[in-house]
Amino acid sequence: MIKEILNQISEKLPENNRFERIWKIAQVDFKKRYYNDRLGLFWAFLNPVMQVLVYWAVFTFLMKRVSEDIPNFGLFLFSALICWMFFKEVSKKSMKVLKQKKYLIENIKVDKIDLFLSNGISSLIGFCFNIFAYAVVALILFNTSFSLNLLYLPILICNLFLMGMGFGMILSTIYIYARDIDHLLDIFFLLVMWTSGVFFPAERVIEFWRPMFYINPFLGIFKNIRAVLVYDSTINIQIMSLNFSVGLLVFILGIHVVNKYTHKALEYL
Amino acid sequence: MTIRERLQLLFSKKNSQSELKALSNVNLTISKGETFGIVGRNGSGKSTLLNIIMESIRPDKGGIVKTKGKMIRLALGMGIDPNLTARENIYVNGSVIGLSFKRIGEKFDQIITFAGLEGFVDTPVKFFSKGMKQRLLFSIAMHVETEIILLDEFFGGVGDQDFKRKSDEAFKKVIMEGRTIIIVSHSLPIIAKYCKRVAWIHHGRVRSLGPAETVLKSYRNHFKKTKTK
Repeated sequence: MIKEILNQISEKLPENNRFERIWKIAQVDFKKRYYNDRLGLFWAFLNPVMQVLVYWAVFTFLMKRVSEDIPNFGLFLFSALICWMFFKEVSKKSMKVLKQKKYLIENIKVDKIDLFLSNGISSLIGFCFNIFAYAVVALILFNTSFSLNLLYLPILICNLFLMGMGFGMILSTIYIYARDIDHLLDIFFLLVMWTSGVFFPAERVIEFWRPMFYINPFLGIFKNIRAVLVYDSTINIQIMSLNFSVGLLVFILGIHVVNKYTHKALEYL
Repeated sequence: MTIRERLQLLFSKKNSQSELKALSNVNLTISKGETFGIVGRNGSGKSTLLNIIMESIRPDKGGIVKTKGKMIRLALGMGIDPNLTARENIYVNGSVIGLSFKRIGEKFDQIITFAGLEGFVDTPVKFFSKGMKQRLLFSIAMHVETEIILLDEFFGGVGDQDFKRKSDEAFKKVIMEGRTIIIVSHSLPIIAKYCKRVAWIHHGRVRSLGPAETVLKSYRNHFKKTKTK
């Protein structure tokens, strides 16, 4: 069914070769990831749900203090965690795009940015499923109501997308010259995740460490996303625009870096 | 290279890797509609030259590459993602080259019939035999409107007799259509058969450039000399 939907979208695209190309590679990429085994798309749902369950269990049963007086803690966790996983996936996969798509770069003159874009879009498709799973859980288990605030959601997702893409493009350039960046990266991601307020608000931390949280752009993004998805309250426009500009900046920087420094990719990868 | 290796290099006494200049001082003009051959021994820089023509590698110094038109390179085992089906590979390759889906759809049946893969349209390419992969790639290149085709050691053993005949015909037709073709090959008969002009690359430099007969003759002589030595 999903295959058909994706195919239908590709038929409806305007006849612009660049769109078509980016979409086709994204579609094929997505298919490759989820249709190659029997459970297929099920994994796309299962993985985030299981992760949320584990963290939820830890913070509600083992470390009660953390989740005390946070209303709807399950959703609080779920909403931010899928966003974080989306960012992580986009940037981690972007890092290896040039290696993965070497077969195309070698054979046909191709704009590298297109490859990155289609990689991001294929992750975005997966993320949409996660959001859908979230909505189902929120509506059925938590009786959450959504309002027009939902209109902000695309902007916030776009912000995440820009950040992930930009960061991923920078990573992929570093990856060409230093391939063991992989190991360092996981530690970096851990650091960012724990200071981004995925698990608890920054106010819960002792004052000394709070600046660590405040310089993390994800803190604001997650806060706004929760305002839209969990608490149905107005979002902080100021923080949103600030974060959006950061995202845009990272994205532009990424494109610049890729255009300037990846010409050695074929030799080193 | 990894960070660890870089650090090791930094602290070891012999602190520079010897760099090999793959190519230097290469000046070539290949005009539209020409079938151009490149010969040279293993490691002489032929494939690097193709990479530079493709602009997938940027030369360190100077080296301005100007090409007009869409390009595809044919080489063994390249250009095809083994995890995708034949159909997907055709669409990905076609759209990256610059064709619209509509156009690819029109060409699709031709490509499949020419490659003789009628029963395998939705089979992942990893289950194909080597010959089938090669036929698929060749067929894409022949039917998709690229102005420039680079053949990197592609000839020799492409498919069975029947396909050889077919590919020979298709290839001649493509030449007649006025597409530019650059052939890199160790098989001198093939170069002699198709190419009017040939460049001989030796240790990263153009050793000689000119009409096929003269260049190939001196190339053969060079081999004979090194043999007798």
